[in-house]
Amino acid sequence: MKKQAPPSLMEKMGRFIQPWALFVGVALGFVGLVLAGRWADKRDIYAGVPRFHPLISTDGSVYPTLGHLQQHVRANASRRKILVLVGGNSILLGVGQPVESLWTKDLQKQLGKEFRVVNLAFRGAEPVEMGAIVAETLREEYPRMIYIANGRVDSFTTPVGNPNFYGYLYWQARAAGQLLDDAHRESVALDSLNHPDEKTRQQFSEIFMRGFVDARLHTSSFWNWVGQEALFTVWNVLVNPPQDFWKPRKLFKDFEPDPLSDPGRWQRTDLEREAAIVRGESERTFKDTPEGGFIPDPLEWTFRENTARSCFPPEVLPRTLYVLSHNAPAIVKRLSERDQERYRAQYSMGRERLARVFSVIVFGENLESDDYFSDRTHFTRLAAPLMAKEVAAKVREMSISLGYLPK
Amino acid sequence: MIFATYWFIAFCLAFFPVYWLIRHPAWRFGWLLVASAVFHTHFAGPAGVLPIVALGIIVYFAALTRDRRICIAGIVICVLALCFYKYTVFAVTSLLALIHPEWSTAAATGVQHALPAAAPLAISFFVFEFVHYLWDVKNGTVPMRNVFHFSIFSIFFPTLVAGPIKRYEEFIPSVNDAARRVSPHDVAMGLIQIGFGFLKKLTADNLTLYIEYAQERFLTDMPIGTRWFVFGAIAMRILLDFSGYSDIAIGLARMMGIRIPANFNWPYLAVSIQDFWKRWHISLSTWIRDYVYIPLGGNRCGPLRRFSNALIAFALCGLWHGPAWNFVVWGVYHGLGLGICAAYRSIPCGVGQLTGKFFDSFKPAGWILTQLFVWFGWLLFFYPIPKAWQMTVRLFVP
Repeated sequence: MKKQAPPSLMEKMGRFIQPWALFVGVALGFVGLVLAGRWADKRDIYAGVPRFHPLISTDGSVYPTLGHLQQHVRANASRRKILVLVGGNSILLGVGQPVESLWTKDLQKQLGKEFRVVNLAFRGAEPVEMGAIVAETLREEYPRMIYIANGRVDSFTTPVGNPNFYGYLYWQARAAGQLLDDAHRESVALDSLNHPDEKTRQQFSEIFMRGFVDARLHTSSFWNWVGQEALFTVWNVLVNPPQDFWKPRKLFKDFEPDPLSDPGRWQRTDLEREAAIVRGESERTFKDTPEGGFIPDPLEWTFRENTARSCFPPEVLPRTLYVLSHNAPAIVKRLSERDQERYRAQYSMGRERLARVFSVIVFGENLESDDYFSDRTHFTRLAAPLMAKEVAAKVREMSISLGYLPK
Repeated sequence: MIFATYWFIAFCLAFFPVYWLIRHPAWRFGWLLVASAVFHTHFAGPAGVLPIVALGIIVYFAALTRDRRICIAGIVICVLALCFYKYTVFAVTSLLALIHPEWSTAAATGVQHALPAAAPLAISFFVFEFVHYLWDVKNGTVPMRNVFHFSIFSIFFPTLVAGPIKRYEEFIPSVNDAARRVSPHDVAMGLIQIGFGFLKKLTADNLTLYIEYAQERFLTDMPIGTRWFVFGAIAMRILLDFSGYSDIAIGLARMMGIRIPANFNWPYLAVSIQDFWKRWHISLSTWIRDYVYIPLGGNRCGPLRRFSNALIAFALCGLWHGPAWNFVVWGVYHGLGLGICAAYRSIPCGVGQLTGKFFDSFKPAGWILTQLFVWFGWLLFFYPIPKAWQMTVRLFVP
């Protein structure tokens, strides 16, 4: 006769389970969490944060929701002020600048009380992501707004963002019905959901559903609030010491060090590799001629201009300021004279072509090595006030032309 | 993990209410079959579905003949398909390279063009279930005449991706019972088991993140105490990850009223290697026992043959986990462990008897020894052999 297996722990536990009581409990718990998510979504959980440092951004396994970013703007900017919403990537986030020397603080000082600057830049974000989405969704609340983004001349890829990183915010805003009508962007979104490559299609289908769930049930808002205020549930390499990973993120400070305290930092940089990247970028837009010179590739430039234009809804373009920043002189000087000339031509052409789409400034042409972090793109605290000054001048000029300020 | 995707959650929200609301057994069964087909097609894609459909047709008709030779031919085709998709690159780049490196290089280029980018989803599980079915039919059990029964056995979605490996003699009656009635108690128990499964997965995923960070420092500047902590984390991670997945699969089936036997039974409480393999990935270890070890001769042919059978069975068990040498070595390591465990009482001069008595009367010693053996084995499982050895040394040397 077959010996009967002793009941498992689950089976023993099952004797005490009242199924309908459990179902009612699960249903009530679910409704409770949704309500808690709605409540959390309406709070500025990042109060007092001057920028989204790594532990409160995707690097730190945190995915700020549209609701939280909007609340952060509302908490920091009165509707009576001109909102200067800084988006873009790590350059505008201020990587290389300790939080007390952040360039957006200088920008606020330069602009004065009439303006309110909010930094919503994220490492690696494209011009159309994160800050751009928040700016678009707050267009009616803040009729006087200027959105600042940055990148290279070829930073424009797709208007729906990168599904692996920051694209989630576009899908959240789309699901919430807060975006402007934009036929081109919508067709790109639908194409993504029907992408011929199976993996890509599944990736977009996931991000689409995630956006829907977040917009309706506020699940991410709830977990962001729990993680910020009470307990973090995901281990992250950036938390120091590692065993503190569970502590609420509000306890962690913005830990960006001052690179200027490390004078040997450039010695650890692979300058040749960085120079090769810079060379490659300009070679893509200016082709060699048989005579030994170079000429702009008209197709490439037209494509870039058109892509930049189609990445944003038309209504957003007049109040967008794009910052093109130069590479560090320590790297540019490693290029041959001809390549340096091509590099400068690329910036000049970039300014001209992108200026047909939105306002553009080119920053950093005459900076020194100490104005840069130990790579080709990020600025130190020495460059921060200089960038703030140039951007502030352009913001004022735009504010006048947009009618935000009297002439 | 497929179970943690939004698509799967949406799929469950659409599937379960309809499944519970349908009262007619045939319709409920049909709904489960349609859902499983949708699940398989979504995650495997046409390129992953077609080879499984082809194998399924062969297996279904081979079993219907009840002819021993045809069933064996069906088994050979299934195993060849598994080898083709999963082990060709390994055979060419590792095995052939040992014999003739130049041929290996040439063959590797050809193989890369011939093979699809990825093997069909869960082909190892499909093949193991098909082999079980054909082998049992060959030995006289009744085949599934109903094509829908065979189909649901093949593509039942909760167990499709990572098991547990089902036995059709138990599974089909359970599906038929569930089609007639699902009790609220089953749904509640399934829900609780899924909850535990996700909790285990969350812990395992956190441990994975930590291990990825720590393994870079393991061989350099890490204190010995922390190394032992990482060593423990590696062992806990695989248990929580795999048993969490099994819990979710078993819980999903239970929510339909279908019983799938437990796949893990507190393996880290095992007091011997044999005991461990009765508790760890039970559906795989019993499969290896029934379809590799026993057909090879099992315990029937004397101690030496028994020992070599265990080694072969566990080497194959290791290889089943992935096409790499470290998995083979991990399997052989466990085969050796089992062999020693089974034979040590026969050591002459009373030493074996005495040792046996010691372990019988002092269980914690057996437990510690077993767990250390198993946990050191995980280093072989997760890392290339030289690195696993270095990590083992660094657990004792600063």
